[in-house]
Amino acid sequence: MTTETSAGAILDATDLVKHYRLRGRWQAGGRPAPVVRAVDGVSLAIGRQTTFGLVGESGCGKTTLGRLLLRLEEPTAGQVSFDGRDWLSQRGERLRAARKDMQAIFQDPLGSLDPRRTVARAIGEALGAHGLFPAARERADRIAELLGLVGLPPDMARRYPGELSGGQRQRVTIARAIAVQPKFIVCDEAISALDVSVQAQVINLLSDLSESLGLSYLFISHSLAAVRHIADHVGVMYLGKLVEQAPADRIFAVPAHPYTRALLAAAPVPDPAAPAPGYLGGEAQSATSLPSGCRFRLRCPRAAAICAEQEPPLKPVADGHAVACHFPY
Amino acid sequence: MGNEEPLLSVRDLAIGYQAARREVLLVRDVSFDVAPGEIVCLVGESGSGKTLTGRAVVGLLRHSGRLRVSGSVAFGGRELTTMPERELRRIRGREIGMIFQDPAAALDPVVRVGDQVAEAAVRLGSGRRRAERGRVIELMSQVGINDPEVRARQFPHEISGGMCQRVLIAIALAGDPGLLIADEPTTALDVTIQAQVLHLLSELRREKGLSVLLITHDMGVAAQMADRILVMYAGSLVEVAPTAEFFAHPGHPYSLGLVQAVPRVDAARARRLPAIPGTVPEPGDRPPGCPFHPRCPLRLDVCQTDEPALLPAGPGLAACHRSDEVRGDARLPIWAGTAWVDTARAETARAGSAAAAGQP
Repeated sequence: MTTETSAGAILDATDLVKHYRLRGRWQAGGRPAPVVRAVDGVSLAIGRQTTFGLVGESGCGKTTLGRLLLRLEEPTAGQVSFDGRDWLSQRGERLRAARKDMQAIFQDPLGSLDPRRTVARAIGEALGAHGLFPAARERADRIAELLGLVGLPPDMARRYPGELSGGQRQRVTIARAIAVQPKFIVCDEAISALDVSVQAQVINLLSDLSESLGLSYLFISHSLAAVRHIADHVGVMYLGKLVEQAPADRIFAVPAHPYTRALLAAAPVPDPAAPAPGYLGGEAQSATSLPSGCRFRLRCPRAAAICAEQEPPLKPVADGHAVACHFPY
Repeated sequence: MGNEEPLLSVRDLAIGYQAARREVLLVRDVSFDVAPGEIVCLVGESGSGKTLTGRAVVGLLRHSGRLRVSGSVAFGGRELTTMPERELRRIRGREIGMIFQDPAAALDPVVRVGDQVAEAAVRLGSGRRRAERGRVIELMSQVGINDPEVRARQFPHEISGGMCQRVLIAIALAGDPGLLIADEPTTALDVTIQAQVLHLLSELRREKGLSVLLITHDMGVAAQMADRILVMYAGSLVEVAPTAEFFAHPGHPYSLGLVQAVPRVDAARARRLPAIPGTVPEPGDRPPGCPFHPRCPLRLDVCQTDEPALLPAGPGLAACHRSDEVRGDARLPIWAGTAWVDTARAETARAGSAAAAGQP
């Protein structure tokens, strides 16, 4: 379903799978150890200079998917082509050099910055890892330039992470990610730990950088609302599978999967006149014991007999819009 | 609300500590009421003092070392701040229930959840364990736990976060309190589970006339739940207003910024969100005059010297020298065109093209 966009894609993943086998005390009575199907056959294509918003609740596999693309973990199966290369076959020194093109920003900026290193050193290290700007003078200039890019004053370079606010720290991790001029950045809950007023600043900054530096993002978030303002294309994950993906405007206008509709309905809107959020009963099943057929059927208001028998494949319903449901819309 | 006697009445609450040379105030001049059956939302960003306020109300800061609390807290006509600890402990749980953000941390990991509910039921009920077994099941079903007999035998790690939060609400309701203080009760939960828990709180209010002081940073949750909204900034209340009025005509620029900065699923996609520049000041660095003035696009000279008092503005209260103008112009996106935003954007574009041109 990703073929139309593949030509211009910076990243193209096909049938990615990551299964974890639980061992140790979970393995009781000689039965085979249970398998967590964290990512269970996901295909997606991300166009150049576009943002793919990946949405889902905790445990749906969105973070694992990001880590597979970053090669922080190796997939159980599947293919990834990144910037025209077979990404999963890159090894050793070649992989290390290629990582320059793919960077990451995580949720907790304090956790991703060494508290005993100044901002200059944190950013300088990223440059050093790829042999960029080896001369001290030029490196300092580049660091000042990067701080300017993310809206921080140059004297911030001498500060330690503990002296900065949460929003400033996240700007530093963004500066570090763009320091090596990547083509693609995985942003995993990059704004979730920030205050509301600062979230908007960081969303705006990421949009500006995408435009001025020609960056593509995989923007992973639990919040459909945050994704609304940054993504060109949106994918919704449920228990290891993409259940719907579509251009952003389309998925918000005509969500087709009952789960996407439930997520939209449950999101509180800052308007007391808005209808009371509808809510979905039950909770997500565990990724170790998936129900037969459709994974969502036990919470689905429309589930019918066929949903227990056949797992619905992700199939196109309109241009660029694909849904895995027997009864879409 | 109306003329009813308030259930909770907080007056001139201040919380501070003695620093090397001066007293640093974390919360100052906070006064508000909660009427029977009313849901009041206390909103603000991290560091605004909303959690401290919630804790001070039930006297949980009494033994917190350096923190000094002053002011008065009246609950059902009784003054809590001067009440002996023994007596206050009878009110906590029995008359005022409490739930906090991280449900997994609030439960004992090595005690079955049913026993934890029973502990509260025994302490607050007849005092006899056997007699309370039915009550435990009743409390657990009341908060929407299916198969309570099965769940009661499970340990906290065996149930989900949403289920843990329901168990905590069941514990908080064990004494049949009139007031529930809920500090970010759904922040750690997924959005579909959050909707379930909020629905539960609304039902409890409707069926039992429960009053709720709901502390949240989420303007969407506040819009959905609150009868009245209290906005805190840098330790002070900057606006108090009925919910509909608050969202239609906020009386403080900070409130307006908070409402406009929230990304929403139902709005047309804006390429840029109206962001409030800067960050919340640290408690020791509170600016003179209006604490919000360094971030405010509407500031005047007077805002930098005179702190505005919380005065009537429409049907509510606002602490802003220009609240009448803000209320009149609430539809104006005052944040979108601020100089700060435009400057930062120009810088980004300039530096971006320089970077693209100057690199190998």
